[in-house]
Amino acid sequence: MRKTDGKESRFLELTDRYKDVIGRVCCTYMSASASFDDLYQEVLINIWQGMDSFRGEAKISTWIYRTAINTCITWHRKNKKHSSSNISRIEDLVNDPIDPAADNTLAEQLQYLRNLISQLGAIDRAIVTMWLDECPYDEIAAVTGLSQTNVGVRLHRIKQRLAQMSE
Amino acid sequence: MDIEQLRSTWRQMGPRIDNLERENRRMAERLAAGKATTAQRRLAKTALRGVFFGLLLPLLAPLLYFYLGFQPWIAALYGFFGIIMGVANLLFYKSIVKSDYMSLPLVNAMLSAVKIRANLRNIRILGICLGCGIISSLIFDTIERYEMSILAGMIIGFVGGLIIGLKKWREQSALSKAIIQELRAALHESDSDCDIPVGTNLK
Repeated sequence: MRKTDGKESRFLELTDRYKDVIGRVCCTYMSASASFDDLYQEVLINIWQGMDSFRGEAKISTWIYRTAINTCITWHRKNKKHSSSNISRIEDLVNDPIDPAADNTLAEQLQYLRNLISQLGAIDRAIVTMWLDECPYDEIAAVTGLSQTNVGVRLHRIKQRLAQMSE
Repeated sequence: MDIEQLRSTWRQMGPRIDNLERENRRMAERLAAGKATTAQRRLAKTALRGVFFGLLLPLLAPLLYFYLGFQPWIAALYGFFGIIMGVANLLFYKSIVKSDYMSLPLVNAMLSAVKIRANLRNIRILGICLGCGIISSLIFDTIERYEMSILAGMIIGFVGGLIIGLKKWREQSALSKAIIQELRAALHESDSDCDIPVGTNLK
């Protein structure tokens, strides 16, 4: 059996398990110059490259978040043409609408939130994305490299800023 | 807009799951076959090309003396310039290949990115300064020999290269400054205008 067969199956197990996380991170960072497909592909490539050197120093989810967000930030910086994100097809982003009558409002609100988030800096965007994903503060701190206190303070300010931006 | 309320429905936002699983399989096949590479590796390949072309110049230097009639010290400088740029690009290539900043915490990764950009900027500055010196020597030698066509080509190349090099250098500098500013803001811990008391157990 080729060496890559084992790596391929580990890769598929990892990416299938965390596809939602990676997908949501890519959705948050995508823009006119960074399509979802480009970002998702680049994240998968970086996961493949980094798999062999991952020694379990952090949780797998932490490592996945770091790889995905760093990839998106790097891509965004290299191809920064537009600062705001626009989704052309809202229905492509909502997996399972709970209430067909309400799904447009929900999808519009989520898109509006995403557009507001896209105007934040790279680190703030990562913090609020992980918070929305219901990650604990210690994991957000481990992914960002900030202290838990700093994460808490920044998150408070981010929420205030988002509320001001939506007024 | 109530962000706390939207948090409960945030996880509903995401691409269709079956699309992602298909993409995972497609990429796994491509990666196993070695058909995809990261942006970091592509940058490393660019540096390798710089090594190749840099080390090619010493081989072309004798042509300047034997066929074009330039002074031997100018041909030697030209070759030496190629060696310096080749070595600089090789060191840059090694630094890129060694750094695995994608799996680092975000602030550490941003610091690594700043270092890589600084190295790239320094190579450009080195190339511009040394290259301008070499081209100037070639220009003055050509003026003495009244070879106007070669002179015109050199001047155009010199000015064009200088403009492109300076433009790229400014872009890299601006980008590095933006990253550093963001890092400074992120690492600055403030405890004053927040309603979370110091020492609160944050979950």
